[in-house]
Parts: sequence; C-alpha cells; structure tokens
Amino acid sequence: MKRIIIQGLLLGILILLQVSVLNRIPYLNASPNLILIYTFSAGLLRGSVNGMMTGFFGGLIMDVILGQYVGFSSLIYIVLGFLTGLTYQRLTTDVPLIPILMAFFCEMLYHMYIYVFRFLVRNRLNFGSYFNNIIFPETVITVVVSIILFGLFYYGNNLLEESEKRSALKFV
Amino acid sequence: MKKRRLDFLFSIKYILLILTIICLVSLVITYSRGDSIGVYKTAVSKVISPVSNAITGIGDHFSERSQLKADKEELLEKIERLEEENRLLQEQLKKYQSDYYSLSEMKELLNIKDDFSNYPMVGAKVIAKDNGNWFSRFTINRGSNDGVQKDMNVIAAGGLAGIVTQVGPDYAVVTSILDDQMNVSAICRSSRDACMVMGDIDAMSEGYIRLMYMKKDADIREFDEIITAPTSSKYLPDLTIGYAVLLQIDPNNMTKSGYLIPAVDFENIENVMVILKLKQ
Repeated sequence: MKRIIIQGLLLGILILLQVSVLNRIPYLNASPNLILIYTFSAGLLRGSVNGMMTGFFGGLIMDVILGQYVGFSSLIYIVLGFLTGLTYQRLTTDVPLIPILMAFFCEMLYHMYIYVFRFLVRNRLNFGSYFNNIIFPETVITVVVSIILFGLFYYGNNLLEESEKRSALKFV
Repeated sequence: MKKRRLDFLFSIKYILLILTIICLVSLVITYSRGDSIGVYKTAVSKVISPVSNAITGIGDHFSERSQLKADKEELLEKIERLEEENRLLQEQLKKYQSDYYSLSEMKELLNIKDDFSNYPMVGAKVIAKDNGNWFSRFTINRGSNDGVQKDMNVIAAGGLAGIVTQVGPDYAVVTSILDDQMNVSAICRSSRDACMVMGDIDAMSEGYIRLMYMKKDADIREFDEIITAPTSSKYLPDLTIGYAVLLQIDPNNMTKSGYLIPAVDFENIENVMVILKLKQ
C-alpha cells in the first residue's frame, strides 16, 4: 500500500516536471523522457507487473494532457515495462552500465514505434534526418539523465524494501 | 485450488493482455471520435491543470526575478533607446491615426466590415508542452467552460499559432502550425496569390515551415507576408502566418516552393489568444 502511494506520487511529480518544467530549460533542443526512465526502472527493480502498471498510467496521463490518441504512448510504455521486467532479478542493478543500456534500448524502441505508426504510415520516408534531428539528441540526453535518476530510484527502492521487511517482522 | 486461480489472474501475461486491450480500445474510441474520452478529461482537468498552472506561475516568478537582476547600466541604456523609439512611434501614431479615421470613413462608405478586430477572444496561458520533438503541441488553461471549442484558431503576438484539437472542461490542446500534420491554405498579402503552408519536421528543427504549391509565375517575393486564405475551411481569413523566404522553382517547372519564417516565436510561447469564432 505504502509503495503504491509513493510510486503514484512519484509518477505524478515526474509527469508535471516533464510537461511544464523541462521545456523551460534554455539551449537544449531535446529533453529527457522521464516517464520512459521511470518505466524501465520500475521494470528492472520491481519486475514486469510494476513496470507495466507504471507505463500504463504514465502513458495514459501523458496522452490525455498532450492530446495524443489516448492509449497510443501508453501501449509502448506497457511493452517496455514488460520487456525490462523480464530481466528482473536476472541482471545486477548496481552497475551504471545497466541503466545506460536500458535507456538506449528503450528510447530506440519508443522512437521506432512513433516513427512507424505516426510518420511512416503517412509516407514520410526521410528517416535519416529524423534520426539526426530527433531521435539521436533525445536518446543522448535521456541516457545521461537516466544514470542519475536510476540511481535515485535504486536507493529509494532499497529503503522501501527495508522498511517493508521491518514492518513484516513487526507483524509476525 | 483457490490459490492457483489467483495465480492465474495475476500472471504477467494476463495483465499484459488486459492492459493492451484497454489501450487498444481507448485508442480506437479516441481515433474514431477524434476527441478524448470524458472520464479521462475530467480526471485531468481536476488534478493536472491546477497544479500545472501553479508550476507555470512559479516558473514565471523565477524568470521575472532573474530578469530583474540584469545589469543596471544596460537597463539605463535600454530606457534611453526605448524613449527615443517611443518619440518616433508617437509621431508615427499621430500620422496613422489620421489615416485610420479616413480609412474607417471610407470603409463605412463602402460598407466593408472590419471583422478581425471584432472577433471575440479569450486570453490563455500555456500550461504544458509536448517536449518530444516529434509533435508540436501545447496545452492551454482555457476549455469548454470559457467557450473554447474544437477547431478554433489560436493566435499569439504576431500571428497564427495553431488550432484547438482537443477540449476539456478547463484545458484545451492546441496543435501548432509547425506540426507535421498541419496544412493551412494561404495567400500572399500583397499579390493575393495562393499557396499552401505545410508543417514539416525537417523544417521545424530549423525554425521554418514549408511553403508549397505556388504557381511558377506567382508574384510572391522574399519576405512577403503570407496570410490565411479566405478559402480555408478551418482558418479565419487575414491572420498573419509568416514571411516567405528561400523561394525556388520546383524541378517540375510548374510550381514554386520555399520556406516561411513563422510570425510567432514558438520557442518561448507563453501567452496566446483563442478566437472564439468558428469559420463557417
């Protein structure tokens, strides 16, 4: 219960940061995708179910705020949460290389999804320039931010797990 | 027995399937209705827009504070420059005022209605922006409660900014004219030659919009003002879109195309006006 409330609040804060603070940073022509970072972190640290739920709600709220077809980005976030959740407890999570690789992999899937379903279907074929102008800058900045954010999530998750263990002991 | 059933219910693949189906259903509904679903809308307007409003307010406060700290000498210089400009402008204003009176008299005589200034408008603040670069959209803090409807034109200082694509009770989503899916039929203000303004991602990253389908012999020159056409189905006439640049004849030797510098500064867009009138 405690975990659900904390995760919900965190998701809300990240969404608000994403839509109203990050675009105010000057001199950046791309901004990090915090919802994506949170989704893969939840998948890595807590497993598929948590990852999928995070992605589902995060994507849904973003879709409604920004006037996307509702469910469009939710769908890809669910898939990302599921896929990263498959590595739950199979990968060590205390090495910075893991969030870097995950952020890269998730960003690539996410952008390919948007390109194919929103641009390729309208016969926009110059993928090369889209890659240079949109995909590459956003991937780089998301990877950089993911190192810091994933670290925070990692410690937060450890703290929560400890407190959960303690309260379970008390209960017995 | 009971436990096994519960296990099945919470098994990962089952959840994945359910969530995917929910997403697909709401996708199909929003796609077919062209608008988001009522439940989601009220949820968002109850929670997100007040908080987002507050955050924008805080952001404004800080940007004002940082501006106040600017160099004093610089400010004095600026004041001097502005005072001189002000004097010049006042002189010009006097001239234009007399022109305006004669113009309005003539208009009365000719029975022409000056409708752009008579449109009812409502001011709005940008409270959220899509900060991926694939789309160019923003959310404003006015919705159906303030009379905003889908397909209403949105203008900012300088000219046309976009069109309302989704409306909630007290928020609305505006797709800007830079967006890849946007097409606006336009004309040149001086020569009245028709052209088409099309959003394009490649041009967007350079701050331009594409300008297409001009006739080869159309009298549109560099830096000519391009405005919305009276023939457009959604856009009100005579709104400035931008200024034509980099014009060249297409390989087919029948049409000209080029780019448009938008009249609106989309990078720092904060305050906009919604024209509360739909094109009939």
